Amino acid sequence: MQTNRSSSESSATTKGVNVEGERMRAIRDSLHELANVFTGMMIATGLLAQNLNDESLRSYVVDIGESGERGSTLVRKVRSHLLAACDEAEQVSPARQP
Amino acid sequence: MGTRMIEVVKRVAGGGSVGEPSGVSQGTQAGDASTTNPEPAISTILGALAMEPRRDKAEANLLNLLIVDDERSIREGCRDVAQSVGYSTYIADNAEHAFRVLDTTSIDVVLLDLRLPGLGGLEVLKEVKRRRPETVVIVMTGYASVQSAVQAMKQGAYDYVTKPFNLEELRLILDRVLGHLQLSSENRILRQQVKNREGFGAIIGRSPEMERLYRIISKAAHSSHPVLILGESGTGKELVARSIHFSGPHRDKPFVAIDCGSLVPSLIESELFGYVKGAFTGAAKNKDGLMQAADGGTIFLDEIGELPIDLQSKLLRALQEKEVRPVGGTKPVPIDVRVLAATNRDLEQAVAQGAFRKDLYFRLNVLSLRIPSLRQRKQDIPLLVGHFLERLGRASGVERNISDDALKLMLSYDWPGNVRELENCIERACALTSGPTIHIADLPTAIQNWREQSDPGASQALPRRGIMPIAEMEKQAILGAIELLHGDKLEAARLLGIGKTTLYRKLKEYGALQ
Repeated sequence: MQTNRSSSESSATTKGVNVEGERMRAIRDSLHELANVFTGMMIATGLLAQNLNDESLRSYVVDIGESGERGSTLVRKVRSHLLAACDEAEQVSPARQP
Repeated sequence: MGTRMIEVVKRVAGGGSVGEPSGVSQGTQAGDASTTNPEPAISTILGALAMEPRRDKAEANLLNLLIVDDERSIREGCRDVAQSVGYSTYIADNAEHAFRVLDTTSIDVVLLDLRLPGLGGLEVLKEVKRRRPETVVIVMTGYASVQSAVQAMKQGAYDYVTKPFNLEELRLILDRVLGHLQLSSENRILRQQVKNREGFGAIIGRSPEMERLYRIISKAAHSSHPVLILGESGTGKELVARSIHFSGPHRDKPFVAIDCGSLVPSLIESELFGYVKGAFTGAAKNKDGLMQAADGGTIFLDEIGELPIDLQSKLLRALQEKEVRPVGGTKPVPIDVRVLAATNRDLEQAVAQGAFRKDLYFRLNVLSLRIPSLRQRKQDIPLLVGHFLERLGRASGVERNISDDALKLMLSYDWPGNVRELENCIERACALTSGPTIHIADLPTAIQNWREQSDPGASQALPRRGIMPIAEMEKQAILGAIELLHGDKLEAARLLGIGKTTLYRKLKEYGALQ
């Protein structure tokens, strides 16, 4: 009995770890997608800002750019939490290093 | 389809050349599934563009960048930023397309997303480095763990950028790579220049014999054993010794060449090993020997066969013990030198005759190489002639060339004095010739006589299609006049309308002055 209970507990734990792992992976994948969205948005905004001749539209471009930066910061923050939860150290992009 | 792409398609459709040096990228959409459905003809053109190696690269001096990402907005955004930085760009949306571009185009930099459909980014990175090890890869990662960065670096990535990134971050990285590649390129050029000055570049020759010699030099350069360089006089033994030293790991250390044949016998010991104050009259202070001067580097003992037998034993002891004892000194001085020795003598025979110590011979002959004589590599003569003419032309500011006949004669000559004789021959001919072309008459008598020995009818035969060089006509006129006048040179000079000094100078050139 003792052995059976232990075995089922172990199985439940493994299952729990698997579920947890899958969740983490799903969050990680979503974060990657979000990172792609914001990267595309920020580069396009940067290029647009450079080539924009109509000054009246510039404030909109700036707004989009700032929103993109905010979104990016959020992605990095969530990713940082996720890495910490997975006991992984975060690597800061060399371009972002001071 | 982006405006830039439409421009490219228009240029292609309109018969414009691919990759005109306008700075506009091909905008290659190698199988770009996310592009707005292009018409078949256009997609064919685009496919061709992807595969088309850039023809304008040398002209525009642009670096080729391949962007691999399955996200269209990122591919195109990165492409436009890269173009503004100064790259010529290619894009691919998956690994297969990336490999196809890599196989057909000289890609300098790859901007690679680590998460790609199908083959993973790290595998792609590995494959990129396998196919093109020199390509710089920057990885883009959306999962910024230290582990993934370390993995990428281990696989050979140059740099990485974590998503999301903005235009400035991307530009910073692309600029950095551009600087890195420019620096690498400059280093390569500088290395080549140094090599040309003091490496194999100083030795001229492309014959199989010389290729073999280069391979041996290359191996010898990375060893620390003594090398015995054998070769006839004038083959360039010191040049080979210098190449061994300057291609090796101790190239920054001294290279000291000693001509054992030209040193005064009574001074060789003090020159080699140094002396202490009071060792002999005039030794007012301690002086290091040449072996100490070469410490950490290479000592080249030229004409080692000429070294007196008593000094051979001292040299052997110095090489074995790695220390020298200055003349008049009691304390040995440690030395760390690599020894290269050269001779044109048959040392084995000298050993057999007791003129050279057997133990020293074995100590020096750990590695040995023989430089081919010039007659063994006659196909290098035109190259050498061209090299000497160019060098003399640079020094004098006068460009000269050589006539076919003169070169033909030089190719038939045996050159007992080897490259040194050839060099002297060219220098002399350049000094004597009045025109831009060196003719047979400008060559030394020994070579002209060789011509007559090897081909007695040659002096009578007219060169190609009845055209005789003026110098040759002049020579025949002078020699013919003297013969007709039974050796009366003054009368010959008068009749020829030249001064007697000129006549004597000409006869000296022809080697006909008795």
